[in-house]
Amino acid sequence: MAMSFTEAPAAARTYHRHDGDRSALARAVLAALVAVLVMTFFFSLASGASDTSAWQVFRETVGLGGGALDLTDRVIVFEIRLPRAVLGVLIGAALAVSGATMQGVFRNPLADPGLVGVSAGAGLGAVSFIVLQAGVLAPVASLFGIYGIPFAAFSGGLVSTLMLYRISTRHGRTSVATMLLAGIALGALAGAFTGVLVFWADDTQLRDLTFWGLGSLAGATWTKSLMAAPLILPVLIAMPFMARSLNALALGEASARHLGIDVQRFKNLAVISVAAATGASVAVSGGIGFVGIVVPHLLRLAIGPDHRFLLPASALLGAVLLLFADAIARQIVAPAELPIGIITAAAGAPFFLWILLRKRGLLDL
Amino acid sequence: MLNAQNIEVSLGKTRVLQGIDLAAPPGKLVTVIGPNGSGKTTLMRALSGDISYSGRAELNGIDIARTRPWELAAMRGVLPQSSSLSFPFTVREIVQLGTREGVADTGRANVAEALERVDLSGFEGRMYQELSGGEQQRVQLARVLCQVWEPVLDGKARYLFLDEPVSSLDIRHQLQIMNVARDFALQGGGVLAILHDLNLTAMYADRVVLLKDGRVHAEGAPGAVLTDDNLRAVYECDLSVSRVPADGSVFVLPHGASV
Ligand SMILES: Nc1ncnc2c1ncn2[C@@H]1O[C@H](COP(=O)(O)OP(=O)(O)OP(=O)(O)O)[C@@H](O)[C@H]1O
Ligand SMILES: [Mg+2]
Repeated sequence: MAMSFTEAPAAARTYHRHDGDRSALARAVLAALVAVLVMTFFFSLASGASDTSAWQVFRETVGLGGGALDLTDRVIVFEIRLPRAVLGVLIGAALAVSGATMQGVFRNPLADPGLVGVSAGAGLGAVSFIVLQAGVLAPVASLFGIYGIPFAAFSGGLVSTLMLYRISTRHGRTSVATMLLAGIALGALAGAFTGVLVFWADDTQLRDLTFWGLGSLAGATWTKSLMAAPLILPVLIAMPFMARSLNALALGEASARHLGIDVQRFKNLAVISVAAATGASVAVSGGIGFVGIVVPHLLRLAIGPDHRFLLPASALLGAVLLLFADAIARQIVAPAELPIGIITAAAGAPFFLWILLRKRGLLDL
Repeated sequence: MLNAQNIEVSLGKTRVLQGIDLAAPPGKLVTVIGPNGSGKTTLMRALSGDISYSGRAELNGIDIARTRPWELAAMRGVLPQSSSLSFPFTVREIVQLGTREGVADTGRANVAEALERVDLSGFEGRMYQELSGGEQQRVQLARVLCQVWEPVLDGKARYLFLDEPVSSLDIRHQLQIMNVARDFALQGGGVLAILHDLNLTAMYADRVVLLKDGRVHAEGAPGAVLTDDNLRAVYECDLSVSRVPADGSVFVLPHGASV
């Protein structure tokens, strides 16, 4: 019953031929990813229309700058690029971790919030809120303040995740084909409702709405980080507590329960986490696709599927990849910029097709 | 002590188990036998706390239906009839899932030693999904052994629930795995094993529960349960039981049987 990958990656095979213990390798990869993330972060602060060196920015940040940056550069770096980089790290980590978590819960390497309609549901939630906040949702809007949009996106994502799970999973088994097809249908449905709402939108609302289509980090502000952080950080903090359950779930729900996991409660927690992280990302940056599927997949090839390492490594690599994609988005058509979703789709979709080609058997369930 | 009284289970609209009484004392190897669909796996799932049942089932005096998964996990390990793995773990990583601290006090559980007991020494670095069916079954058993490494903990017996542990093993490994189960019982633990092999049952079981259509048809020592009449009634197959001259234990050869 090959529910997923049946072959070992060649590189990993040579590494752990003798004792099957990949934890040392995983720790090394984690450490390397931390270093790469720090470098990418300062590189992204330094790159752009106004060129400063990453080293200068680093010295300035830790208080050793000695005034090497002039005032304009300081404003650009600390008021424009810094919030954008921080947001990029949060979103990248959130997308990759929700992908990895969802794959673990659905026991399926193709489950990704973007692919199976969860992001579309979150988008519908966010758009409903923007369009209706002056009308029927006014009381909710005043209650939640800036957290209204993320919370609405979270709710939309939660509803679609739950529906997806109900539809595609029976007796603890997820059918890949059903999941993907149900995801297409749910995504289309959410898209249709979103379209109707966009018709009702006025001009300022329309401007707010345009970036939902492709996803972008443009217009990142500290406020947006503040909007997303309360939903994303708890998920990142909960990661270490989810790892053991996700590992046990790889054996199936019954065996996970026999190992002492309260499977139903864990799945509830995991679904809420996925919806929170996805919802928050969609709320502030629109639908950025494929990070959640590419990052965990690459890492499983490198360090194996042990979620104690896979989840933090996904957070780190997701952040790195998003900062990287954002740098490309800003450079490639400078001084204008591409929505980052175009970059992640252009790189991620072929990668996804490659996974499918290698694992064609995956859909024959 | 594992004790079940009047267990009834309905799945969908069908009543799968009716009025099952079963006792598996510590130190004994109890086997459940019966034809396909007679309810063996369902019984084990009920006793593992996987499905709801009516009646009463207790493990060491604790009501199985009301106990949290982690408390049950500390007292018994379960080897399922079949397993699937959704991601490419190595053999070591799979067995280690049984030893993780926090599940239970797994004591001195040791991956290498568990693999040695199931005759898979040196397989730590192999990918689970690249193993043969019998090897995978033995890896799963090693994982379960790690979970209840000490057969007795704090004066209480722990249990192995094994659903057809030797179904895909060759003759040598069948004997080897049955020895592992018997050793667990000899050291004071309890074993409840579902088997299809009547001869292994005769060789290893201290007690036998014979199921037919969701009811206990016969229960007792192997020599008392494995009789011509019982086997004919339950398996609807013309089998005759013989005895080994040396020690008087029974064996069943299917050669002359008509179906
Ligand atoms: N989920 C279910 N819904 C309805 N009926 C079920 C379900 N699972 C099992 N059954 C039925 O319950 C009966 C007992 O099944 P069970 O799996 O316990 O048999 P078994 O004795 O373990 O058989 P085998 O020797 O083939 O493993 C069978 O008739 C089966 O069809
Ligand atoms: Mg069975």
